[in-house]
Amino acid sequence: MTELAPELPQPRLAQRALEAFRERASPARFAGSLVCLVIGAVYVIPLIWVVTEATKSSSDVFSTSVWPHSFRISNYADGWHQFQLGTLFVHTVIITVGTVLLAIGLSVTAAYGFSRYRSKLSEGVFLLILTGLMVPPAGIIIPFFLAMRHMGLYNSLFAVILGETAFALPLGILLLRGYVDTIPEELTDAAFVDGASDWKAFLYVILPLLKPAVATVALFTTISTWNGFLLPLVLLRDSVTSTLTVGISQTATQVGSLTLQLVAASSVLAIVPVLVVLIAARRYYVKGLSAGALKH
Amino acid sequence: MIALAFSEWSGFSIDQIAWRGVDNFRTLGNDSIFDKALVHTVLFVVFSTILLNVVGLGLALLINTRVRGHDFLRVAMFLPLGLSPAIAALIWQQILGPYGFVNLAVGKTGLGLTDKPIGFLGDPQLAFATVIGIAIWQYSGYNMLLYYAGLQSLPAERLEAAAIDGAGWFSRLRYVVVPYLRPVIAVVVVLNLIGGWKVFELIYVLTGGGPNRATEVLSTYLFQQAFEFSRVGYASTFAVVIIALAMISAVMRSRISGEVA
Repeated sequence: MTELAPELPQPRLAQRALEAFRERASPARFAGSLVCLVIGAVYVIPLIWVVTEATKSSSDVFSTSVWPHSFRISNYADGWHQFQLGTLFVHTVIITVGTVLLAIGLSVTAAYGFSRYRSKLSEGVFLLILTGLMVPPAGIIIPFFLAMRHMGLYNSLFAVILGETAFALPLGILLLRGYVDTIPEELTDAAFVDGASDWKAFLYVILPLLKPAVATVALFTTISTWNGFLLPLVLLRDSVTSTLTVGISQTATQVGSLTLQLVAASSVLAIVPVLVVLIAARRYYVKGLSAGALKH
Repeated sequence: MIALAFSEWSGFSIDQIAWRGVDNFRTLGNDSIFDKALVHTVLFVVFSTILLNVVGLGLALLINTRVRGHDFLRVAMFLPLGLSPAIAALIWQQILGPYGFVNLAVGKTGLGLTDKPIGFLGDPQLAFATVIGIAIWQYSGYNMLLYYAGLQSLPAERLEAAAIDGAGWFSRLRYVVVPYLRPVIAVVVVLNLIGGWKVFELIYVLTGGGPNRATEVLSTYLFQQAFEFSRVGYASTFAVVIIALAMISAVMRSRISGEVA
């Protein structure tokens, strides 16, 4: 028995490995791999192309060769100056950080309220806020622009922060309320028994448990604000005072096709930070995506 | 906070519509560019939704087979999701330009029937299809991720049972996978519809609505009327139409989530 026991599973294992190998090596699976590679290439080639374009010399941009012949890393510095990327970066970072902080602060507290103080009215208000998920920005940009101008906030970064926050709140409140709902009432009740106020229970019991959900909301808000276009386009006066997306695309239209390599270099610089964040936090992204889309 | 979130949405209907009501809507009826923009918007939403779902579900199924290379495809589809549509538009302008990758590749391989570069964005016949194609490139990863997540919970026994009963690849898809994913498909389709009405910067940067209004949609036409021609009141009527269209999708969504839940 003791001698046979280790022997027994072996032929089975070998057979399984062989089956797995056969399955793996079948022509259908090979074709599947090929399709994966070809379609995957369609998705990444534009990104690779813009990276190679970014270091081409000004004449190489108009060469008829698919492969680059020149490598000018100085394009990045030239693009930085010509597109005033320094200013644009500062504006984009201020707007993104401001929006993330404001949106998180508001949606966390609102989510707590919507989860723990339920009434017909609060449910109605919650549904109204959710309709914000469906409103196309173009549909409300005119009244928002008029309101901001009336308040003397035209051409101020704060106006953009307010607008981006308004667009970020519905998803933030939806995700966070769903999360607060899963936290047992007993936890906060225990804190209330110990004499904690609502505010303290929220701060010391709820908030620490919300960290992963807050991270998800912060990630989505960062991406959408960094990439925001319509609000800075409408609310900030000219491309120099604007954000990366607006500034680069406006300058690109002005300079025309003469400096394609600088447009490419600036585009790369603008997308690298957000892609780094996205890849680093992709677990949160996928989680939030399915929660936001399917839970409700 | 709630007041803030609201001041934009409800503030809208109160001041805009009441003031300049009927006249603007009358002008709307005679504006052939508005008709074009409306048709394009609807076509964009319908075609992008259909294609996003075909591509998204198809590639999710492919990735779910876990053949070699499926990880590469998954990451490749994921990357465009992080891009600003405005920057994506700039990138595609270069790729599709006369010295861009696509025209060079077509020229080199001799696939092209013409020796002239293809004007993907300059040709009114092609520009609209190109715009939809780029939207698919950017957002199909979103559908893929959602369908892939849905497929994870599909019980393998069902597929095996179907296979034992002699069901081929297509009938397994038709009778097992699609019925199982039906609630997911319903939600994803509505999400795509809602997302489709939001299209603006991709088209604004890519073509500016041209050539000759071939890619004009309601949002780009609204921007032009309101912020370039200062016809704020008239442009607001488009906003009403856009919101109304989006709300139709919203009602569909609440019906569907009611049905699923």
